[in-house]
Amino acid sequence: MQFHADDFKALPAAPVEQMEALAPAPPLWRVLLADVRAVVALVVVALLVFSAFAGPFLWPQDPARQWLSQVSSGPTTARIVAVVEDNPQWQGALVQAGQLMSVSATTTSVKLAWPAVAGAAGYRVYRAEAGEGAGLGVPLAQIEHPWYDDRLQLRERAYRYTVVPVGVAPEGENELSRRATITLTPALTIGRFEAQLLDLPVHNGEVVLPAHPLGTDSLGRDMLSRVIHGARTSMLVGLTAPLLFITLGAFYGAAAGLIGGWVDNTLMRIADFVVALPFLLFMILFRVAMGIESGESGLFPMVLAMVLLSWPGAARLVRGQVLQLRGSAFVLSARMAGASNLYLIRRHLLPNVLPLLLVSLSFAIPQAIFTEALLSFIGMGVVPPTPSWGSLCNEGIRSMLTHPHELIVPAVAISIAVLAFNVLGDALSDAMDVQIRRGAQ
Amino acid sequence: MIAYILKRLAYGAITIWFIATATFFSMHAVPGDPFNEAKAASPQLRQNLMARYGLDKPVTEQYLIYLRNMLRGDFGISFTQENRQVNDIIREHFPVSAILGVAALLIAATGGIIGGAVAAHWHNRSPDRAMMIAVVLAISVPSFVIAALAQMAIVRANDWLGFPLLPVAGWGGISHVWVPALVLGLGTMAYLARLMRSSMLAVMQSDYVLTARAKGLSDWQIFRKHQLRNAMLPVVTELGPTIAAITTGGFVVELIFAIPGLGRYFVQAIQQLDYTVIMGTTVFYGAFLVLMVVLIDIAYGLIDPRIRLHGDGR
Amino acid sequence: MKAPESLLSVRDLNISLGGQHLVRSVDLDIEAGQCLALVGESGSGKSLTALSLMRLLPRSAKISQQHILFEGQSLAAYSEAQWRQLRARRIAMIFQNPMTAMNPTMRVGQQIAEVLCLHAGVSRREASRQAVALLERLGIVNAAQKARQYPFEMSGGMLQRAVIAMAIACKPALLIADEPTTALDATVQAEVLVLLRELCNEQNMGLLLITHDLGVVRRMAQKVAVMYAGKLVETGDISRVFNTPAHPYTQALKQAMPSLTEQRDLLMAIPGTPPDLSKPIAGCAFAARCPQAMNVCARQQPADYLTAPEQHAKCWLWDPARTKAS
Repeated sequence: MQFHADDFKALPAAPVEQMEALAPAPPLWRVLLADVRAVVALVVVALLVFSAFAGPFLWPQDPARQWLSQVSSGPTTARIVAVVEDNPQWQGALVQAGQLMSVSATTTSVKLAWPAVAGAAGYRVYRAEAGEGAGLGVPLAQIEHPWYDDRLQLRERAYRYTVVPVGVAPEGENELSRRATITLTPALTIGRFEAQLLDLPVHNGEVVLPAHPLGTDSLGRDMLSRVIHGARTSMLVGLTAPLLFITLGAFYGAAAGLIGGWVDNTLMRIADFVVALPFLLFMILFRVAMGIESGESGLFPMVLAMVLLSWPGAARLVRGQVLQLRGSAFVLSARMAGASNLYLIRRHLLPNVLPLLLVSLSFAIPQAIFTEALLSFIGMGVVPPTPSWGSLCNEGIRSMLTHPHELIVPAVAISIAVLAFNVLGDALSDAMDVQIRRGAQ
Repeated sequence: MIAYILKRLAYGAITIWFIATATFFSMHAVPGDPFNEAKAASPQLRQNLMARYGLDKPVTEQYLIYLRNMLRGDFGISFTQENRQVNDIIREHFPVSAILGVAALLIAATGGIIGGAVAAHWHNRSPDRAMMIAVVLAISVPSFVIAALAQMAIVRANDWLGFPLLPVAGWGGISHVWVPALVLGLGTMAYLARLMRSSMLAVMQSDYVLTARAKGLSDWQIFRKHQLRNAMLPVVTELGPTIAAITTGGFVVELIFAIPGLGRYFVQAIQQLDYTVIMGTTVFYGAFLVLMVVLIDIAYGLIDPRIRLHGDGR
Repeated sequence: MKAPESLLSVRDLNISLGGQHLVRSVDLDIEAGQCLALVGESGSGKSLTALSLMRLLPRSAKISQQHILFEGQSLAAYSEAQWRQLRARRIAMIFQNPMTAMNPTMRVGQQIAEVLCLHAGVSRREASRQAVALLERLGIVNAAQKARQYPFEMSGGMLQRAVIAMAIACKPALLIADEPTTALDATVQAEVLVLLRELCNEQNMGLLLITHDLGVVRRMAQKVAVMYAGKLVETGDISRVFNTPAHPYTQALKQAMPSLTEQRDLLMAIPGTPPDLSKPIAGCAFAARCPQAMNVCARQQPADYLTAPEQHAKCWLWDPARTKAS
């Protein structure tokens, strides 16, 4: 190995790397926002709360208004339709027409027309259904003029018309030229009666039907506005009840932990008993006890029951934290330095307890939404026509096999809300773990 | 161990008493009385009915009678069906719910433990990711929606196969149990699977598993003797609350699948305002849940020696 | 050149884990009945080295060596099944914390019996009997009763004895002890160390003792190897290295030992922090913190020099060219 001249001279002392002062653990919200799924969940939650409160103003359709002509329809846009008397109306899509036939569907009949055939005594009009083979079909009429209006029992299907001149020799392929196939679909109209009932302004015999982005239910009510109003109910119950019982439980638990002794023991025993009460049964019991009939909506008893039955969880949590802090060394030394109870609560208890309570909250909310949906589903919560996601599901189940969107829309709404809160809760508790670990380092 | 069991049983008895009391006073807090409706036309009839149900006595006396009856196992007579004892109703319908509940619990526990173990073993690879997505879905979609979808699926499957593979609703043989029990246990299964997975992951990192490897044990031996038992402990703790959840979910499943269990009867009783049935069922269910929790606590004591020998580990 | 009767011989061991080159070119030689102490601070790579000797590292770890010979056999190409035969039967390992090293829901005697059933092929009853006998040998009174207890019912010292019993049950030729007394009380430490030494003498068992405590080293080892940042910086006979440490790091370690006899004003800590092992290191890894660093130290890694009979150090201070240059 080649040595250099001053290889063995002393190395100039490099500035000794100080150990980086440990940065204080980043605040919780920053850790949280670094997590992608937390951000997505927060956005979803914000949208839900926003739409629950502001939704009815942004989408002012009445959730109880029934559009009789649009029962169980899929998503539609706003349309202009004619007001007619109450006959069924048709529109036609031409499938095929021979050269010598013209056919068109008007709103009330199918009009056929063809050039006159010299020497014909009359014309016989046949109608067959397009799938029924190649025969002529049913003879509709024999007429002398080269046009015909078919109004006979029109249904939604494809019809094949054939016109045969009477009294002339068979024509071979000319026959085919007097043949036409047309597909009929019901035209979108609204009866005069319904228009009057719904109080729609009529211009030139037409009205504007509003859009239904999520379709309508089996009674013709707009799904989107029902879901939005349902969100109101679900958010109301889902947010107020957990907020109330967690706050209540927190104070209860803090009191138990701070007072200590036999008071603490008794208070916690009571909490244990309350936990043992079967939740759903007592919720229903409360509802009955408050005299709510089977057909009435009982939001207040629901919230009350939820609060009365769910507070022990938060109480135990806070009490645990209080006990842990009471025994910890730094609180002891703070006390010796003269810190007051209020200072200790503010400086040490709250920062430790609040994140835990937040995590509890974000798991309690979807639980409350679920419970409300469940109760409304079995008719023990909010009953129709008041929309709640649970009662919407209840209605939707009846037409599950034919019009699944009526069940799917509220079900998806519930799932998204519950999912968003659950993910948020998960992300919050993960963020807290990270904080604890970084703080410990 | 004996002391532990006795303590648990005593605690359970007091809890049941509390539930009965809470039920009684909740019902008697209602303003007015149950005969305000058109049930009783004349005051004479009303008086007779009150006497029959003992409602003409002062509240405290009613309470004591209620407790006494309850100790004898007598829940009274149905309000709406006057010749039926509540006890008979319970005896007739509860076994159905119990079978459904037990089946659901078994499915949930087995599926959850196996699922969690598999996910932990293939941590961060496809089985793990697939399972986590399935878990999230099962927890978020409401049970009644899953039940409805399951029914729809059965109908379609039966159509497609040309013969009824599974019954869509009702009760009768074992084929009636599969789908409702699965639907009922799904949410719990997801929850337990997630719990088992994180428990297994923690166990897999532990020192004693490293020691077991240093002893030359094979992967399977380590899994069977060291990992499984320790990982299952937190899952067994959670079985108590899950029984409550399964009982609750049972109502909906019974309704949708038209299963003649106690839950469905309970909902009907509510709609008809059959007070004795409501109270009796509530107390019965409450007592049942308490008993289950006590049994699970005892079972846990058997599995975890730390609890058994040193009393309450909590 | 390996000696013919050496129990374990490893050359040029390299371990990479998680993108970091954590053990760099380590050589080890242990003879039967001899105790080699592997000394270093946390993060120096000593535990990793030990775990690699039994292939207990995660599958993502990359291990390479020039040779690894145990009882004359090369272990380099051993399959997992062959390693399982070797573990606990010929090479055994004990860890730092006995409370977590044992399965909390399994009785202590059962855990000892497990290894006997697996390797010695005895029946369960016979294995239990032998387990009790082992516990007695390890100085546990009421061994039969203790064997039926669970780990949480025993004290740390007692439990560590049980752990040792479990490790030597099949009479392995080599025992690796990773910080066996660090988690124990000072008085119990001495007892456990004495016990270990007795067992090694009795069974002519080689002992690789990993520790950061120089006091423990002095009591137990005949040879010592000092590790820093994944490299061996000094090796040799214990009294030589202890009395006249050749490498500045070893000197600093010795100075950092708190002493009950000498009067000292300051607790001498080594300033600075160990280097980042995710990047290759130019020159000597200790150069940044070395009070005697020279220019060449920052440029080139030192070779292994014989600084005294039975003492080697990797340090430029000992390069013959230096004495010539001055």
